Amino acid sequence: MRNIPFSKTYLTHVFGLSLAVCAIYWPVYQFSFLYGWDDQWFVTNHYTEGGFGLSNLWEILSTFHYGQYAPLNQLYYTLLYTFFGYDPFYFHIASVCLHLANVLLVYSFLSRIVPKLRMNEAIIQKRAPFFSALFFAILPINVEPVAWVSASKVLIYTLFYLLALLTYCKYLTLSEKPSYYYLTLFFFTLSFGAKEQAVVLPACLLLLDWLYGRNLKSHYVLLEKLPFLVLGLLYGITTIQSQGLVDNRSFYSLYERIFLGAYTLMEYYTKSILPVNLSFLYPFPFVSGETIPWWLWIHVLAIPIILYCFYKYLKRHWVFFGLSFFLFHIGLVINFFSLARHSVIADRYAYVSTIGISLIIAISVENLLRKIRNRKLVNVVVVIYLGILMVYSSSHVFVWRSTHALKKRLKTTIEQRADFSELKKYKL
Amino acid sequence: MKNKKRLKAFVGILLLIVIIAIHLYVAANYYFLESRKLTDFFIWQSDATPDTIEK
Repeated sequence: MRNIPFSKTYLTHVFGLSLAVCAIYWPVYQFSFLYGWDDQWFVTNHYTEGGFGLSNLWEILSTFHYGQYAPLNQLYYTLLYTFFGYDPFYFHIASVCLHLANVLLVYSFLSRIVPKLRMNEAIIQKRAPFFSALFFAILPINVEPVAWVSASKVLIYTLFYLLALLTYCKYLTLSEKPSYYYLTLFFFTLSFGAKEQAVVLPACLLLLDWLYGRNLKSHYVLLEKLPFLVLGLLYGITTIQSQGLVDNRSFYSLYERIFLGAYTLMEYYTKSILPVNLSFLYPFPFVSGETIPWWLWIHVLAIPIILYCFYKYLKRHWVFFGLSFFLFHIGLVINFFSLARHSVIADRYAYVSTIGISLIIAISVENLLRKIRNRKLVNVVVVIYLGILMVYSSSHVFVWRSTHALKKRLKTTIEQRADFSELKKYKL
Repeated sequence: MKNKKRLKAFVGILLLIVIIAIHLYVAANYYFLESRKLTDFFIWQSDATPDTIEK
């Protein structure tokens, strides 16, 4: 795609993706800040109002805020406040613009990646990046970071993360030109400045090395990653320090975390492809020390068997790349490492990893269309599926219109819980 | 050989369907999850106060 940046197909794809994003997210202009849901400290705070004076900038860069280190995200709020004050309209529109930029970057990134996936069919190379980006754009699980202002750090981190991946692709294709390498390092730093999930970039760069056919045993290739690893380590330490400021509630044992990890992994996977009853808060399936429910055992036993059964299939370049991309980015948040959370999963954590799933689904459909006789049926099923996703996302957006709407949604979902009466006293 | 491949595919797909069905059931009825973490969360949220200097 890089050779024909302004071709008719390219412009049609860009227009289609922009239209899909606008069709889903247009209602956000009327949404308010969620003062009962983190916006009261993440967005409206003294850093936001402090302007771009040296003392405020220093404070933003050098301090942790409520157990988080996201200076770039804070600077983004400060910038918006400087121009527009606390007008939620501009904050929401900015979030939609960031999501659209990410969708287009996903399209651009996959346009470079798909030709490397060893599929000779020109039609797949042409259509798969578009359908993957479209899937990423309309997924209901991706609504949360777009419709909730406090989650803008996910959008900003993704923006710079994708720019880092794109510049690294350029670095690999343009005879390892140093300027692109330094740009990748620069974007990596900016990405971490928005959210700690960016620390997995070195692993993702190795995945790209493999895809571009580089020798992974080469000292040069590994040495190249050293600055990324050192930075990643520093960022990791910063994250641990920032999280340390939050009180650590009852932590699960390693044994329990194996079950939680398997459950969380499949929960993210299922919620990405089959969004049912999405929420902004998901209860843990059991409390530490309690008996582990029987249905969690199935996960631990079934996942290795499924991987064994599909081993041959997993060896295909596009499946391996898509699945690895998903696992690398979801690995940090599957409760195997960090558990200082109130919710077992959060939709926003899956944002980048859904790119991997989107790619697998888009190429699977293309392959099916090539193999099956009744193409019309496949096309109809795909259109219905995409339609359902769009309709779901369009309605799910409204959950985030106000604190009242958000809590009402949870209240109706959990009012049958045994501890509901206990929750009511916390002004649910 | 062909039968072995078919059996593996069948078992793999069956297990995947079982797991997805469990997740869909949990998603549709997740009020039955009795985690006290949720209560902790609301205690934490009700302690929240705005951190602004603007009047």
